[in-house]
Amino acid sequence: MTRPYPRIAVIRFPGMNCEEETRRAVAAAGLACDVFMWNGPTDELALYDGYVLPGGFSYQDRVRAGAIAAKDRVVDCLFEEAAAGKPVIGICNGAQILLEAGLVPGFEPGRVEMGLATNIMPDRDGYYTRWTHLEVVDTGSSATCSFGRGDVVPIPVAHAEGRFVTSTEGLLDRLEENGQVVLRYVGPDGASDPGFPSNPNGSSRAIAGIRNVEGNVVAMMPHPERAAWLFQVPERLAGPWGASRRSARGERTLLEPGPGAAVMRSLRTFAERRSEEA
Amino acid sequence: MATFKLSLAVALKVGDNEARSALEALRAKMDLEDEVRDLACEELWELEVEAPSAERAQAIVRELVETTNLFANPNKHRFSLALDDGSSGGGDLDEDEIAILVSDRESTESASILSAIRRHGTAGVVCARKWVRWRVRLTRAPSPEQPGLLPLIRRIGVATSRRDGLLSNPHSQIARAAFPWGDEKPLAG
Repeated sequence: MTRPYPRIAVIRFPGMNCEEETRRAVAAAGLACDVFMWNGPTDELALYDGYVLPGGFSYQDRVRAGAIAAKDRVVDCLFEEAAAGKPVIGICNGAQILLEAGLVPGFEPGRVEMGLATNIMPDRDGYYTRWTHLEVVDTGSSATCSFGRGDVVPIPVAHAEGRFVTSTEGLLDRLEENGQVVLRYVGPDGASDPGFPSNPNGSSRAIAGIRNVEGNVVAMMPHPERAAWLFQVPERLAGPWGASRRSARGERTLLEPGPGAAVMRSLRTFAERRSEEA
Repeated sequence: MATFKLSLAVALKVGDNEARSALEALRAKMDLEDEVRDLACEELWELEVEAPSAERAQAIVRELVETTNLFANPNKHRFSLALDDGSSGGGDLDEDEIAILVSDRESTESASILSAIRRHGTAGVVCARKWVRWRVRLTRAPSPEQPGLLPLIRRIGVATSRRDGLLSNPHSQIARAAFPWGDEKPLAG
């Protein structure tokens, strides 16, 4: 018997604006996917096999990015489903919500253990967008299990508050020891480069994405849905993906998966693996 | 030439949706409807100005605010300017209000605004730090001896868990509380 595709809910809070392209990118990975409103019935939400919190500006970033959405009732449901092992990926504003809710890093679930602070950049402040290069540091998570460890992938960022920070002594060491740092900003050649612009926001230890202890919940600042197809990759980009884009001819080639598609494939792999185990 | 500390408060003179959203989160999502009655917010700039007199220091900042749009847009903001006597956090509070002041631990915003001031050609402003000042109107007037007051203010002001705290994230921001009787207490950082 053919197993049905895992069903993923892209949860839209008021003020988000990336839900539709995220849904398309998730669906392109072979997953059934719906946009689910934040005030929808949580008993229906609980029926999904996994969740993506997309980018945007939930509640217009009022108070602090992600702070108000983290208090919403729907997040209670996410806690329950994450505790059951379902994959949850927060992208950009979604990542901010997961940190503000205490779903990641999740040493004590529900406790706010980190923050995503305002960007620190030389000679500028505020919102910043650019293509970044990411090293896949850990492949045990719902967002990275289809990558190879050490892969370097270009994915764009676009945010004003994306700098992973903590005031808890030793927490960053603990994250690294546990393999909970899943993505790190690097130079185009994959070499470590904690400075601007490779690290576009001054993030601690150039962290671009982290996971919870179990690996099913991931908060990542870069936008994989904006790199899900080859046509989204800029021709000027350095490295093999830029070269692929420059040599691509014809609609069929341009619609081949881009570097961010593996995040959605990871989500599918993780969700399928989980349902097989169940 | 001396250095004067000034306090510049900038608030919306139209409806403040940010304060409204925060109030709703506190009352409806964090079960604080019995404790919190109303909420307002404003930007509070702590400025240091080198000038021959306090009057001249205030004149420099007033002109800057009125002519540049750097701190306030006259179409939607009102501002007040005062010499900072150390009571800027709580000096004007009503008896049933407390203030929670929040600022980023690290930010390049101050450097950016100082740079913009220099580009404008205004000399004298040597330091600028922005706070967001939340005025929290409680359902009953606080008093210095009130048991449980500081834990309540932390529940409002410092995000420690999914359930508790909204107005600051202690990992990225510092926060302090100011009281109508002139006292101040650090909350985070």
